[in-house]
Amino acid sequence: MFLRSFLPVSASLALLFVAGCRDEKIATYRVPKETPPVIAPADSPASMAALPADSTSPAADPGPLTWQAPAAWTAKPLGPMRKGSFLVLGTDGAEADFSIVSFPGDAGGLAQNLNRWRGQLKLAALSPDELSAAATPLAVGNLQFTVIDFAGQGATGPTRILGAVLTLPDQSYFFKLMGPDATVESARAAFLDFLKTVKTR
Amino acid sequence: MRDTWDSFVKFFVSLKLTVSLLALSIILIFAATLDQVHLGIWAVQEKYFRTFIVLWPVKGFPVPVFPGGYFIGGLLLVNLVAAHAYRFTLSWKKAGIFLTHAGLILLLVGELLTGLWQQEYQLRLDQGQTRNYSESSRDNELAIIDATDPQWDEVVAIPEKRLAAGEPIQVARLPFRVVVNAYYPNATVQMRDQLPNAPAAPATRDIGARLALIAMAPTYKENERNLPAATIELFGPEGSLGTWLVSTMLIEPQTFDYAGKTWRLALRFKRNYQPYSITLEKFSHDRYTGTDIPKNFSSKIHLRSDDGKTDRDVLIYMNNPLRYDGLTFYQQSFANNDQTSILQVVHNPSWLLPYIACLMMGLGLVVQFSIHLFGFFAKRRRAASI
Repeated sequence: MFLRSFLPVSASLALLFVAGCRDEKIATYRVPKETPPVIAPADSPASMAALPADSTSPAADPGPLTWQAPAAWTAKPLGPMRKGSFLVLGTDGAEADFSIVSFPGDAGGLAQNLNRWRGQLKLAALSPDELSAAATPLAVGNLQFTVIDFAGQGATGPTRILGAVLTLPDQSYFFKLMGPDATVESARAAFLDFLKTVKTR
Repeated sequence: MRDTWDSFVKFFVSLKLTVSLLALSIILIFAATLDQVHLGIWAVQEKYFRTFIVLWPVKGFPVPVFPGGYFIGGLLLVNLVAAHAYRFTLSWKKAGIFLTHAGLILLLVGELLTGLWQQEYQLRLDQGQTRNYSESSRDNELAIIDATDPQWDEVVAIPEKRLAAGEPIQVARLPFRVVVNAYYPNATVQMRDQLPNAPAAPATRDIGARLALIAMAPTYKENERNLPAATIELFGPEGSLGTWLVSTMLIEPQTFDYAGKTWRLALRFKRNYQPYSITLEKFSHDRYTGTDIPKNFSSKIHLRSDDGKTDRDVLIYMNNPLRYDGLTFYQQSFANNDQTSILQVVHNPSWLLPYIACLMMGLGLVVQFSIHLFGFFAKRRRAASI
């Protein structure tokens, strides 16, 4: 009796198994040499000198936010992880970089990330209380930004970061304008106006 | 022997089997729908439907708990075909029933083929950018590229699942063996010098020696993807060449020289190269006047085949995909303040089958109903004439 019921079931299983097997084969092929991607400056919370990657959210995910960049800002190619990337020109023609990246959760905490930005400007780390005092809250609709303005030294001279951090329930957004002090200073109004265009989808 | 054969046949042609399988499929769909909250649609499809057995982790070990979609659907298919073959009598009166069931069989086969053959990719293009490949939305691969030739790259693409399996990988084209020391389904990397109490560097070569690797819980959300990482060690005949950290977070391939050749190493989204290239000429995001409400998304692209036979502009917008060379390009999304268009690229050779199947089933039901209806009318006419 056991054999009678076992045989048909096992036979059909074997049949289906053969039909359903998916192989994971190693592929070999030849492609025309690819020109290296244009790499945006590293500026993520992961901030890696040689790492253009700047988010753990999916490359394909447009994210929960929308914004409207000023016409004077030039969109740059994204690293696959950047949510937004713009070239900001100063009145003297100097270039600043504006980037939007996101990380899941709180990305290690506000203080750690703000101090990382300070580190990029060769500034000493501050305590969480000192950082809170240095930051300015900005409400846009129902979004609460923490805006900072740090001036220090970069590789090419006096450098400034105008940044804003937005903490959503499951991810954090980092908006960063970094470049020569005067260039960033001249784009301050545009930066703040930009933040006011940020909305949830 | 004869008895065994009879029981074999009876088992497969029985209506009891049909009812049992339908009942099992109801339970399966119910459980999968509940679990979709935790796993998202893709993982649920793989766990419950595109599998023979549903596995449930008990104390870390996967335990089979229920027949999967392939098992139930496959047996239903066998049951349906067997029952028809066994009870087959050629009769016009049953034409509708035959047609309906043939449609059902085609639907089941179509789903199986879709499961086996369908591949989904994404083509992400900035305005003005040209690409001849799309990238998988979920699968990743370790690309080991012989970049010695100034014009061509010789690519060996190893699927992520082979890395996850952890077995040494030997490919005839490579002068070294690839050994996976560790594999992480989802991980992030950070510079070690920016982390307090950074863990030891996971690799000895290239950027991996300066990075810290932080394993993360895999995500199952529909709009997120896992970013896997692995530490791999290459072995030539003379021994270890070193260990490398590969991660989908690292966009630039890592380069090294070995055996007189230049090699590049990258864990990347699985690529699907095509013998044609697509350039995004313009992405348009039209809104209703005076509002932010989207009216239309469209991508004007230029399609150019390598053989020069195709060289034309195409407008892709909602419900108007480009079908070319067995692939369908849909307007899926956009990013970077309307500067980047994201096209969904679907390869599904069996995409027509469900349509044909539904048509056959609909027609079969109409035919069968008509046969009965006209039979009924004929009967009434006869009764009236008596």
